[in-house]
Amino acid sequence: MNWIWNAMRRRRMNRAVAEDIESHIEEIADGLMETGVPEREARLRARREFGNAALLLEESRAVWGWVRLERALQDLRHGLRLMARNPGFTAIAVLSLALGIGANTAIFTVTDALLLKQLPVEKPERLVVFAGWDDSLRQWTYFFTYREFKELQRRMQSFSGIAASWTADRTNIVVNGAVDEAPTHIGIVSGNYFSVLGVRPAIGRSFAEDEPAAVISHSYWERRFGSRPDILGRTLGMNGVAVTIAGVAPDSFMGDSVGQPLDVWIPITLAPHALFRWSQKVDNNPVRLIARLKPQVAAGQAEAEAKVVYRQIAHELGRLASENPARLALLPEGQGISRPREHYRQPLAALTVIAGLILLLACANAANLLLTRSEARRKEFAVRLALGAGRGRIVGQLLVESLMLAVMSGAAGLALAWWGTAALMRLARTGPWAVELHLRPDGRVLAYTAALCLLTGVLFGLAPALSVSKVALYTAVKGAARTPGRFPLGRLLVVVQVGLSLILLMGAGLFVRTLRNLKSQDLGFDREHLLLVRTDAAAAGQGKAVADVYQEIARIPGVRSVSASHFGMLRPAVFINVTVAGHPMTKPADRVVAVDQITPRFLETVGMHLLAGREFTPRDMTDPPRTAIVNQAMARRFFGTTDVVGRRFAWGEQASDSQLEIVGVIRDAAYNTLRNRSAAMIYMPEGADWQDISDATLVVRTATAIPGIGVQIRDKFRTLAPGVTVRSTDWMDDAIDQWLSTERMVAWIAGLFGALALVLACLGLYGMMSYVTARRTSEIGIRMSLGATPARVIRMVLGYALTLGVAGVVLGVPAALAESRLVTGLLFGVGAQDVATVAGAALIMLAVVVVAAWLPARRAASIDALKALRCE
Amino acid sequence: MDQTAQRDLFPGALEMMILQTLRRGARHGYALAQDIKGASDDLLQIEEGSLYPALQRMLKAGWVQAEWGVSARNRKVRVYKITPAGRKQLDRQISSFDRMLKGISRVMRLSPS
Repeated sequence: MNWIWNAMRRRRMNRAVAEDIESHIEEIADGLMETGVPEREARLRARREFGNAALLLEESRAVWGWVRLERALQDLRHGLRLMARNPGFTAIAVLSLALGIGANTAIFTVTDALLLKQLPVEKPERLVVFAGWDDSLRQWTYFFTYREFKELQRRMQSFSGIAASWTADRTNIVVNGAVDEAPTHIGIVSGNYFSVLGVRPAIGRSFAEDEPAAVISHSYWERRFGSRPDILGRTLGMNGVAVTIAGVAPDSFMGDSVGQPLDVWIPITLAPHALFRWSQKVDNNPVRLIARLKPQVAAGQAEAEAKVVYRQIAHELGRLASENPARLALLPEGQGISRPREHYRQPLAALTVIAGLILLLACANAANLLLTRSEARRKEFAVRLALGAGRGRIVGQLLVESLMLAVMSGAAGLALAWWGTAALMRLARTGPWAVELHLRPDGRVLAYTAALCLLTGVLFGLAPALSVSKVALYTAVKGAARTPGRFPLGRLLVVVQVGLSLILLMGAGLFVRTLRNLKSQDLGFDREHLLLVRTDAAAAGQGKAVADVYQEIARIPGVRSVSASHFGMLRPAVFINVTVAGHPMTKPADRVVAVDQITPRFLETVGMHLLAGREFTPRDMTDPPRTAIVNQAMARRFFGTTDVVGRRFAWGEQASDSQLEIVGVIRDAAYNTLRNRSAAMIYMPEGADWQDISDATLVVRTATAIPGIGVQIRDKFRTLAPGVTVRSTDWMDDAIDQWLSTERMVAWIAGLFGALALVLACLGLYGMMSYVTARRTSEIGIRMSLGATPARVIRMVLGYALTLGVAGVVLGVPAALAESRLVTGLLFGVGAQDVATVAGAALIMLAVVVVAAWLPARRAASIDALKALRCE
Repeated sequence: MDQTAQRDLFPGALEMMILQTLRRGARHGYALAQDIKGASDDLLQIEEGSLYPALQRMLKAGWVQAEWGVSARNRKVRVYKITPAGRKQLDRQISSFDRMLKGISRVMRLSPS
């Protein structure tokens, strides 16, 4: 409002001064006429006496500070006119910049939400989480027991509160009287969880530690209860227990594990009753410990205390030395913990670099276009300089023009980012590292985009502005536009563009080849016509029913065999320690192997190759298990040979209870991950009463792809084992695709931007070459009149372009190699220094240079020598 | 932009003379110029137009006010009037001007001619 008021006042003042000055002059003239001077002369003399009226009016206006604004408006209008006059130019610049800004914004939005943001809790920087270093897995673990939690809570002085939390997924929760078949993500927390985090429920209250009550998430309230206001006091049926809803969490809070939002929180003491298959002894319940530091206490201080106190507790509780973490630490919890976060850290870093490069390239492209245009406008600038415009004014105008481009691109980029973010999330929502982020455009993202706009505007606007500020008046007015050759900034920009494009092409090549290698590798099993069915049991005692369902599925026409594994293929590995008598492993990490439990005919069903020994038979299904099947990698590491059928090993650390006898050895196969076929792996038979198998992954081998088999299988479960829910049915090929969703995301973006880089470099080079050949028209005319053939002219122009291209490649290759070293961890089956990829990228680049220069070269060769000379 | 208003005067002199003239009564631009010229017996060569940027500055500073009126020759003009803030400013300027004048005249007496 103030702004409008000021503008109105300025207009009024403007008019008043002008009128005032006019009447003053007329009064002087009146005075002169009264002394007998004729009117005409009186008026002339009055103007002389008054002084330079126009200048004084300008000065008077300047007092009110409107000149600067008026100039900016003039520049803006001028800029808009120029844009409208060059729609092609504007479109290319805006589109490429918008893509760059959009990509950066989209990737930043996801990166920010997953990697950078703090939890939406009170003073997140004061939160710490207890972590123990696991020497075997070589990573921090957050596993403690409820008993330890109680003791720490009683003894620790450094904290204003310690809270415990754990999570579990369960299906078959009864909501509104109906069974919910979708998995519900449950937080199992101590009574003080919400108060320690400083999260106040949006509706209702939190619960006491021993209360059969729950707090539900805002999103769960919307999805399952349609945001109905009378939510408090309603119940959720969990494993036959009625749990009363005591509160609804605020919209922003979805738990402390980022990317995996929770639906319901219940007290820990309720978990043994409300959760099926959960430790019945509360004291042994697993918990993560989140603590809030007292105001004056430093994290280091608290950690020192925690170490001492925890050692006492572990000693008193008689926790085995081997179960103790090698090192205890308090890690910052302000960002929450997140399993997917670590998985996405490197890919997102790579994508950020790629998006940054494409934005730089778009900047170079826009700078180049602006530069060629400003070169063409040299004469205009020179005339204006000669007429008295300040250089600052002209540079300012050019910057206004480039900022306008940047702002337009930013607006378009924001729209693209909206779409891009949704696309990224679609890719991130599948596979074993599925993340669910509630992304909204917030101040941080908008600030990021605005900063990008400003930065790009200045970046690409600076080059042409600087070049103009060096315009030499005399030569420019005379027609320096026709001086041949020199165009150093433009040449440099083209070289930079070629270099940047090469880096992006190289990245695209590496990531696309990685994806192809991962997809086409020999997995060690038969992926064709293999169906994966994930099931989830709601209650105990389903083993017999599930065994019956297997029989039924095996009878479906086209099904060859059915089996199951407990943890499942392409799921994160579960590890155990293994000990072999007489083969001590010094490094703890060497004792660790991945494990799964399988039912008979598993190897046959998935098509894994038995090298020696046999598969499990129903007779192996004992409690505890007495037999095992191992892969080559396991056999080599622990026995130094693959001839191990009949050898024994222990599950755990005591070689004395070598209870497992190896009955089979299989060829190494991709199991938990597609990236490592040769991970050491053991398979144990499923237990005697098929109990665990109600919560497992079925594998179904069929002769052909049977459409609708998923529905048939769901039906069989519904009729024969109603307590078991089918979570998903996927053909192995689709499961592989899902597993590769991150790799696909990276390959797609890298590939897309590689292609875009080629187009931009092509456009940049084309623009530059057209400009240069136009400038050299007369020179080429002279050459041709002296006998140069068109072919020679073409060679000359192409040679010039290739020189620039080669310079760009020479600069780009080391940069590309340096960049690809950074992403080594993301590659598969292709080295970061892969010669074929580098050479391929360089060749494609040079081919593009020739293509881009071809048209200008042809045009140069068709110059009519006479005409060219005449225009001098 | 500022130094353009005073041609042969020291900075602030024009403002001081305008304020001094307005203290004797409100005037429009033309009358103001005539009075200043007349008071200095045409010793000061001021360009009449240079009053206007100065007047704008003073309007902005709140030392003078302007309202529409009619001149003796029956023209629509803006009549300028000194404000209390303008009076205070004038007093300040006069005293610092006096000090400066005193200082200059001492230096002139002492220096060998």
